[in-house]
Amino acid sequence: MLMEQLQGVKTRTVAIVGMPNSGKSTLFNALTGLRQRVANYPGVTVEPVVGRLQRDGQRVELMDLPGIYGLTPRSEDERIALAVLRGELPGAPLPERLLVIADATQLERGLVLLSWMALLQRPTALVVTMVDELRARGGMLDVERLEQALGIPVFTVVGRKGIGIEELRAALLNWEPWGIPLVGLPAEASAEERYEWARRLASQVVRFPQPDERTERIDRIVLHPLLGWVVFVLVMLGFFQAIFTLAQPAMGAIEAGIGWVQEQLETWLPEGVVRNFFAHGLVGGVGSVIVFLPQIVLLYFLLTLLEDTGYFARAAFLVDRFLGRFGLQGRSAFPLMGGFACAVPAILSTRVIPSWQERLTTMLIIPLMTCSARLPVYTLLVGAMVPPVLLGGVVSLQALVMAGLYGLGAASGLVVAWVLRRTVLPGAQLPFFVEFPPYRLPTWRNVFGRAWSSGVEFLRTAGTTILLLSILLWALTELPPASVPPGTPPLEAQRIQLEQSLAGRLGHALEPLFAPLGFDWKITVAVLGSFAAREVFVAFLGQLYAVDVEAQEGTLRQVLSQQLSLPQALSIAVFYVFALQCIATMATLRRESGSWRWVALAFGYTFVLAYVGGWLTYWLARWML
Amino acid sequence: MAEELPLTGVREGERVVVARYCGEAAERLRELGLTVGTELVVRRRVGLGRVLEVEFRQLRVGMRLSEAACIYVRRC
Repeated sequence: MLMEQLQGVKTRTVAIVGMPNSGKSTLFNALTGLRQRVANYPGVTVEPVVGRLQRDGQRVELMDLPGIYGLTPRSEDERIALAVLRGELPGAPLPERLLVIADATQLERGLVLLSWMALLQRPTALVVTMVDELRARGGMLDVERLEQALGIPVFTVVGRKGIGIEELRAALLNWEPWGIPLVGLPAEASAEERYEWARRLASQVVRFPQPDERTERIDRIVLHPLLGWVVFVLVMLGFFQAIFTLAQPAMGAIEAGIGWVQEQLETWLPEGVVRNFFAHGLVGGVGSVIVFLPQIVLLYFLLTLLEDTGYFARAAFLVDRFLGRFGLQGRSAFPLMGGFACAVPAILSTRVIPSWQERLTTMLIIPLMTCSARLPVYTLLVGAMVPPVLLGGVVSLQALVMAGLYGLGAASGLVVAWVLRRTVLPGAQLPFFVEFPPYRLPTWRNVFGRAWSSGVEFLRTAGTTILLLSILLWALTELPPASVPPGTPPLEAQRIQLEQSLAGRLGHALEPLFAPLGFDWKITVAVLGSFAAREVFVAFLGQLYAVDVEAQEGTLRQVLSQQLSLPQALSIAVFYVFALQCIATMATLRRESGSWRWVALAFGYTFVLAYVGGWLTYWLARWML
Repeated sequence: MAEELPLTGVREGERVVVARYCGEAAERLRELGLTVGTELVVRRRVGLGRVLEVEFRQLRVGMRLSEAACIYVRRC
């Protein structure tokens, strides 16, 4: 602060305020570009984004706050936005000025928000967005008359095309004097009185636009009782397909890159714990963080695309009734779908859900959606144990078991949501309204910008926790170093190490606990070891059965099919359907829910489900087969 | 004076005026601009008829039937 004063630089704060869908974020991105950061304040899970404008010693910080409708908060987002505006959020600066955003095609609503903001008695300017759309639909706006009536500057901008942005940026940097809006309403004026005032003013300064023809045409299909569902299923399939396949090449490249670095370290460093730490603890841990980036960026890219075009609101609306029965809401659909690829980006993407209870419930059940890391486990177990027969000559039994595992996860997720909403996360469902914005072409700056910043933010926040936990887990499996007689084959050496490590000893100690599920010590060690990431289970089984695989000159699958029984395999699979065996998910959940308490709840309930599910499966399968 | 009826009883395409509210949903709707005296049109029923799309003040909003049941309107 002192340094800045000495240099003659004073940082001023301006808050951007607007109703949801007013074009607020597009404007913010156009003004600040990528010079943004997410502001972290203690105990707050919805952070305002701060961007900086700077020019010859002038510096203005812009705060993009969650959308609000007035001065009465009804969701966590709105509470935080209002706390910032009133200077009541510890650590956040009090915004000196306000930039109120109004959508030109819905000027009345923007003016009503301005009338509420006038009560804060701060110098204010009004920014009218989407003036191009207003004109295209035959409307018109008299800016001068609006300025005269309100006594404050009015800027017109088209955020997506950058029109009017330079003027606004200059006005912000020059710190031109702004007035406090003249509204002429008493402070206690009701919503009715405010809308009446806004309607009268709007009718003097704006020629209202015609309905948007394109939106009408698209909605006739998208909201059609029958075709609407066809479109929904197609979009969902495309979304699903994209998050599964498009991120794969990038993830493969990251894994290959990490592998290359590990190889280099193993070539250049002397053998021992130090080398092992650098190669597998540190570099492996870093790898386990950045491998999530492609899916996070992609999921955010797709969600922003769906939101910006206007389809997201319609899709949420369509499935709202179904999800509403389980205490969720329409907007939960896409994060849940994302959970089938990976829980980490899916949990991050629950930010699209405005109600805190529904958002937290969605976060807590996402780990039950079968993510792609479970696939290697299922494939190994089902491939080894379930006979490759065709039921009725058509349906593969193996495919049926796989589908059953997916279905079990999803169905139990919905049941858990229902239970959570009636026990730990009660609270009336927020009234569910979705505003249907007109269909628009996405702003690429917005879409790429949000995808990019979500990735950066993940690295800065959850990434560090994941890294620390990965290293801790490395220590559990690699320490203390076991004494391996010289000349032992590498796989056999790894088996000895794993067996004598802390995790191995823990596995032996915990064997009685997992015995009712049919797990022997090898499975128990592999389960514990795969706590970092489920797919590691396969690698650990590979190490533990290495001797048998070599002796028989077969594959792990063949060895397992002799050493495991079908009830055991099914019990392991069911255990993995439920168990929260993923530190990355837990770190992200901690980050997004704001407390380890919710992580403990998620881990606890999934473990109980996994244990009871595995036990029941083992017991039933033995009784039936 | 025309008779009051819940919004759920309004046919597609019909133009009505908000008369009064019941329940909590009212506050948020009033902030959105669906104040008493506002003209609105029921545009369509979606999702197997269980949700409504309404239009007022150049804004289109989807709502559950449970919310719509709490908005009483008058035909105009």
